Amino acid sequence: MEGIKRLARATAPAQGGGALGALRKIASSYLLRRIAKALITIFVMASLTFFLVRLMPGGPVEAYIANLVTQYNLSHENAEAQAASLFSLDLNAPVYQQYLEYLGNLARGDLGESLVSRGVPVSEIVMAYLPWTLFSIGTALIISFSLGIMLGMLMAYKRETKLDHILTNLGSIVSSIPDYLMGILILVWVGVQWELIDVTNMRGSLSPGVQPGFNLTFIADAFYHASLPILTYVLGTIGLWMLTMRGSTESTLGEDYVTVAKARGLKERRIATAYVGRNAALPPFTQLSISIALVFGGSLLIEWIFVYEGLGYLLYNAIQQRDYPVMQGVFLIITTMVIVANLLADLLYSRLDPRIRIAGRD
Amino acid sequence: MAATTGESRFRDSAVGRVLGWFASTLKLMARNKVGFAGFLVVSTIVLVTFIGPIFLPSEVPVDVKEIYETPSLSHPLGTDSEGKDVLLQIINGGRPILTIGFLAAAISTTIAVTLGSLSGFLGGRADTGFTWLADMVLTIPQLPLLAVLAGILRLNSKIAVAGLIGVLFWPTLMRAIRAQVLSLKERDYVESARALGLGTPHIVFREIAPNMAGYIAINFTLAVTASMYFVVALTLLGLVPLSEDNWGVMLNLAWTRGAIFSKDSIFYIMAPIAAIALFQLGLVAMNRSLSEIFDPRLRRGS
Amino acid sequence: MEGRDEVLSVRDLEIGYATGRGLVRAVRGVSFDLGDDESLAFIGESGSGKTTLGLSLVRLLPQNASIARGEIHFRTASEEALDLTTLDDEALRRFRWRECAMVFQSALNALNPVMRIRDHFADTAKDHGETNGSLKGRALTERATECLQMVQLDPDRVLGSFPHELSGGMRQRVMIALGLLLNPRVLILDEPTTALDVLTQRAIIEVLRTLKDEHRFAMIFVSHDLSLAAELADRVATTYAGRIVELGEVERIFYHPRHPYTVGLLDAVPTLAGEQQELSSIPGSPPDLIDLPAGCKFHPRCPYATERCREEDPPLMEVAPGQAAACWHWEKVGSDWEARGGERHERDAHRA
Repeated sequence: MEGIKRLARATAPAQGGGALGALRKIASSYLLRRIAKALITIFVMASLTFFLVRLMPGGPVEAYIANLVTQYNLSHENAEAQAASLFSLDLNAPVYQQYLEYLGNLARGDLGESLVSRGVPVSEIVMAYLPWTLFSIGTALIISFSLGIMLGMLMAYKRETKLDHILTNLGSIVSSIPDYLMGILILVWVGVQWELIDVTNMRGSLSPGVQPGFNLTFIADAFYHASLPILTYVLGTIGLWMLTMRGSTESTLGEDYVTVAKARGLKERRIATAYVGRNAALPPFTQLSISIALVFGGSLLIEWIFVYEGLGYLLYNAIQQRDYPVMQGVFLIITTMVIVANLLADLLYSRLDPRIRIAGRD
Repeated sequence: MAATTGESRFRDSAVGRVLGWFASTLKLMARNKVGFAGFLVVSTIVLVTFIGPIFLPSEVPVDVKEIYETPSLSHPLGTDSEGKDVLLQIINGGRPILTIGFLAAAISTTIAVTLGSLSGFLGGRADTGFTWLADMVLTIPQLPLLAVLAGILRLNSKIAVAGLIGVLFWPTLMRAIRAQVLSLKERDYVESARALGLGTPHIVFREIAPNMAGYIAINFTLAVTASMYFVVALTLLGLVPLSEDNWGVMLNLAWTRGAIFSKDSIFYIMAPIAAIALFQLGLVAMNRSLSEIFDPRLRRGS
Repeated sequence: MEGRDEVLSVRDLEIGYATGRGLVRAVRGVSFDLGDDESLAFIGESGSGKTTLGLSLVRLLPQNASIARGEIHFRTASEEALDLTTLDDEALRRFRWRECAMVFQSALNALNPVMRIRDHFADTAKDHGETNGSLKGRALTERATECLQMVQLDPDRVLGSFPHELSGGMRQRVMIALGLLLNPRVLILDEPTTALDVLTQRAIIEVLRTLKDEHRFAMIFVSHDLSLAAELADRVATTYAGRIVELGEVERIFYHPRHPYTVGLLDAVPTLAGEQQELSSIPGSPPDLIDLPAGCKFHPRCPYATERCREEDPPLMEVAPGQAAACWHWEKVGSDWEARGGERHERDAHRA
C-alpha cells in the first residue's frame, strides 16, 4: 500500500487526474483503503488456492486424473477433460492462462463442480450451507461480545472483590480450554451424562420438515438447533472480552474526563455508560478480528461435533471424501467471509471512534 | 582450600552454570504462586509423558474382558472400548502431541523473532513489507487451511505437521516482537552503541536480544498453547495419520467408536481432555508468572 | 464593592491524605469567606494545599483523603444554606456544577473523546434538569452559544466538533463555557493558565477578566502564578504548608505585603523592566507535610525567624483593615518592605 501511495503521490500531476488521481483518492480515504486491502487479500488467497490445488505435485488435480486413468480406464485426454470441467480449469493451456481463466471464473461465481455429487456446481452447495454458519457465528459473536464487555465492566467496577476474582479466574480457565474440547464437554456432560438436553434431536441445522421462511416456527427451530454451537463459540471467546474490557475499563476510570464528568454533576448511570463504557469498549472491539478468525476456523470442528450443517461441516466432509473442488471452494469462501467480516469490524470501529475517522490513518 | 576451589570450579563449569540458571529460574518462578503452580503442572506433564513411556510397554495390552471398566487399582483411570488401560494410554500418548506442539512453537517463534526484529530494527520498506505479509497470513483462517492442506498433502511426519502449524502462527508473535524492538530501539544504550559505530548485527544480538529474552519466552509459551490447539484439532479430526496412540487420537477413536454417546466411557473421554486442558492451563498460568518477571516496567534500567 | 452577600464560608477546614508513610496534612485549618461577586486567588507552591482546598469545595477529593474537621457553608441561588461537608451523594451531585463549577487545569483530556461539544452541553443540562427546568432543544443551543461566545469561541465551529479537533486552549475555554452553562454561583479555576502557551494564556485571562466585569458570580483561582492574581483577583490569599499565611485585597498584598513568604513570592518574579536584578528565590524547600516542623512552618526558610517562630505557630492576625498575616514579625517585614519602597513601586507598576 505504501508503495502505491508513494507512486501515486510522486507521479500524479498537480491536480490528480485519471487513474493515478483515482489511486491517490483511494490512498487518502480510510474507507477505500480498507476495502482495497481486503480485495487484494482475497485476490492473493484465491491465487494461493489455485497454485496449491493445480500445481502441487501429487496435488488433487494430478491425483484425480491418475485415478480416473487407472480406475476407470479413461484415456489421458478424457481424464483431463473431466478434471478440467470439475475444477473449472483448462489443463492444456499454459499455466498463466489457466490462472487467468480461473480468476475469471471466480469473478463470475463459478467454483467448479463437486467430484462427489456429479454435476452439482460447488457454488450451489456452498450457498446451501453458508447461511447457517453466518447465522450461528454472527449470533454467537454478538452475544459473546455484549456479555463479555458487560461482565468485564462489572469486574472492573467491583475490582478486587470476590466477584471479580471468581470471574477473572473463570474467564481465564474457560479461555484456555480449546473451544472444540468445550463442545465435546458440553455434549458429553450436558447431553449424555446428565441427559439435560436431547442432543440427537439437536443435530442438523433444522428439524426435518421445517420450511425456511420468516415465521416464528422456523426462527425458533433454527435457534434451537444452533444453540449448542452458539454456546460453544460464546464460551470460547467470552474470556477474551471479559479480561480485555476489565483492563480497559480500569484505565478509563482513571481518565480525566471521568473525573470531570463527576464534577459536572452528571448522573452515575450516564457516566458509566456514555463516558466509561463507551470509551472502554473500544480496545476490546479491536480484538474482534482475532475472534472472527478463531470462530470461523473453529467452525470446522464445532459444526462437526454438533453435526450442524454449516460451512465447517461441509468442509470436513469434503476433505474426508477428497472432493477437491468443494474443498477449494469452501476454503475460499471461508477466507472471504473472514476478510469481509474484518473489514466490517474495521469500518464499524472507525464509526465508533471519531479520532480514527479524522486521522485517516490505519 | 581445595574444597572451595573445587566448588567454584564446579560452579563455573558448564554444568554448574546450567544448574545455577535452573535454580535462579525456579526462584523467579516461585514469586508468583499461580505461575509456580502452572510451572509445576507443565513440568510434571512433560516429565511424565516424555520419560514415563520408557518404563512402560509401548503397546498397551488389549483385554476384551475388561471393556470400559470403571477406575480400580489395576486400572486407575479405567479402560477403553478394547480393554486397554486408559492411564497407560495417557502417559504414552502425550509425547507425540507435545513434541509437535513444542516443535511448531519453536518454528513459529523463530520466524516471528527473526522477522519481528528485522522489521522493527530496519524499518522503512522492509518493515512495511513484513507487516503487510504478517497481516495477510493473519487473515487466513488457520484451521481450515491446515485441514485442507492435511487432506491434500497427506502429512505423515511429525516435523511436517509441526512445520505447517508453525508457518501459520507467527504473525501475532511477530507483531509483539516488532513492537518490543521498536521501543528498545530508542533506548539510550542502543543510541550509544550506534554512536560508537557498532554494526547492526552487534546491536541486534548483543544489545537488543538479551533484553528480549523474557519477552521471547512469554511468546514461546503462548505459541505452544496455540500449536497444541491445532495439533489436537487435526488429530481429533483424523486428518493426521499418526499411528501412535496419542491424546488426539484417543478422542478421535472415542468419536468414531461412538464412545461419546455412551455413559460408560466417560473416563476414556475425560482423560485426554483433562490432560490437554491441564497442560494448557498450566502454560497460561506459567505465562502470567513470566509476564510478571519480564515486565518491561520492572526491568527499567537493565 | 457594593454590599456583598457571602456565598461561601469556610471555617477551620482540615484535610488529610492517608498514605503508606503516614497522614499527609494537606490543609491545616483554613478559614475564609467569599462574596458572591468576588474573585479570590489562592497562591502558593505545589504542596501548599491549595488544590486540595479547591477539590474539597466540590467534594471531589481522592479516595484516601478525608475532611478531618471544619465546615463549608454555601448559600445557593435559591438562598438555601448548605453544609457541604454533610451533603449526601445525590444532593452533592445536584450541587456540583449547578451551584459551584470547578474547572481543572489542563483540559486536554477533560472532554469525552467520543462525544461532540454540543452533547457535552446537552448532558450537563439534562442531568441537572430537575433543579433547572430543563434546558432543551432550542433553548439549550442558545444558551450554549451564549456561553461559548462569552469565552470568545465561535459556536458554529465548536459545537459540532469533537474534542480532538480543538486545540488545547480551545478545550480549556470550552470547559469554562461549560462551567457557565448553569449559571453557577461560584466558579473555581485550578491553574487555568498553566500548560498553555503565552498567547493562549493571554486569551484566557482576557476571557476571565471580561466575565468578571460583565457577570455577577464569584471566582476562586488556584495557582502558583502571582501575575494571574494581579490580573484577576479582588483578594489574594497566599498559602503555605496547608494554611493561609496572608490574606488581603490585591493592592495591599502586592504593594504592602506583611508575610515573609509573600515577600519571597513577590521577589521571585522577575520583571521585563530594563534594570538588572538578581533573580531571587526562596531558599530551602517546602516542608514534609507528614512530619511538619514545630512552630511556624515557614521558619526554616525565613530570614526573620527567631526563637519564638521555632516554638509558636502564629495565627492569622489582622495587620491592617482587611488584611491579615500569620507572622510574629509582620511589623518588621512591613517596615523593611516600605524601606525598599521606591524600587518596589516602579517594579509593581510594570507588573500590573
